[in-house]
Amino acid sequence: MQGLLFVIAAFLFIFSSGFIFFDPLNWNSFAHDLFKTLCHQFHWRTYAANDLYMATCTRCFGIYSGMFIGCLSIPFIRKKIKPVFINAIIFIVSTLAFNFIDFTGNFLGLWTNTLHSRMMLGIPFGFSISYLILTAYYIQTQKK
Amino acid sequence: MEPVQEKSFINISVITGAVIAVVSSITIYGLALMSISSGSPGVAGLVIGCFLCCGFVILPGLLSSRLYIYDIQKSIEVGKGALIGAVSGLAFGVVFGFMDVIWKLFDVDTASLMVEYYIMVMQNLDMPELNDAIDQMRDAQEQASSGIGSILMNIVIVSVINVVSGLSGTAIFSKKFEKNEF
Repeated sequence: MQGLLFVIAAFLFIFSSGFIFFDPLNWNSFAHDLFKTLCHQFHWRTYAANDLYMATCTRCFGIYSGMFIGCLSIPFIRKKIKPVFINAIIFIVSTLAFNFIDFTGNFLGLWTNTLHSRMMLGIPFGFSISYLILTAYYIQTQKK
Repeated sequence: MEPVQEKSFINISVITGAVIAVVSSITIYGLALMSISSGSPGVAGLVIGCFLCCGFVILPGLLSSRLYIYDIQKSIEVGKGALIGAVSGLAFGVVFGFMDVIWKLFDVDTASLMVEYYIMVMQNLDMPELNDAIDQMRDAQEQASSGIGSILMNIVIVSVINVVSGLSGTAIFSKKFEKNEF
C-alpha cells in the first residue's frame, strides 16, 4: 500500500510539474491535457521556465508536492512520532480550512494571494493527505 | 464450514461514480451558463473555484468508500480503498465524458463554455495584461486534444486521483467499525 501511494504521489508530482525544467520527450502539452479536468491551468497562476508552464496551478502543484514529500518522509519519522488518528484528522481539516479561507479572501477581494503563498498552503494539505492514509495504514498493520 | 464471502464493492463504486459525474456536470456547466448569461461570477465563481479544482473529482472515491463501509458495517483494509476509489473514478470519468455528449445535444460545447466563463471571471477581476491572458487561454484551448484521446486521459487521471481519495475515505470511515479505538 505504501508503494502504491508513493508511485501515485510521484506520478502526480512529476506530471503536474509539466516537465518545465527538463522536457526531452516533449511531454509538456501531454501533461497539460492530462490535468485539464483537475485544474484551471491559468498561466498567470503557475510557475514557468524555458517558455513552458506547469500543468497545474501552484496550489495544485503544492498539494502533489506535499503528498510526495509525505510519502518520502513519513515512513522515517513514524519511528519517532507515534501515529495518532485524531491528529491526522485535525491536521487535514485545518490545512483544508486554511486553503479555503485563502481562496475565499482572495475571491472576495479582501487580500491578494501570490504564487508562493498558494503553493505554501498547498504543501501542508498534500502532506496531511499522506499523513492520514499512512497513519491509518500503520495503525491497522500494528494491530495484526 | 465455508468462509463468508465479503460483499462486492463494484455496484456501490460504479453507481456512486456515475451519479456524482451527472450531478457535477450539471452543477458546473449549469452554473457557468448562468454566470455567463448574468455577466457576473457571483456564487457560481465561489462554487466552481472551490469545487471544480479537485472537489467534485475526489468525491466518488470518498463517498463510495464511506457507503461501502457503512453497508458492510465493518472496517476494511486501507489498501482496499484504492480499488474502491479506482473503480469509482473510472465510472466517474466515463459518465462525465458521456455527459459532454449530452451537453452537445443542447448546443453547449463544454470546453469553450469553461474558457468563456474563465474570461468573464478575469474581466471581473480587473487583471493587468488581460488581453494577453485571454489570448493564452484561447491558444491553450485550440492546442488541447479532444475526442476519445481526451476522454481516455480524463478517465486515467480521475481514476488515479480517486485511488488517493478512496484510500483517504477508507482511512477516515473505517475507524468507526474498528473494534479497538485508534
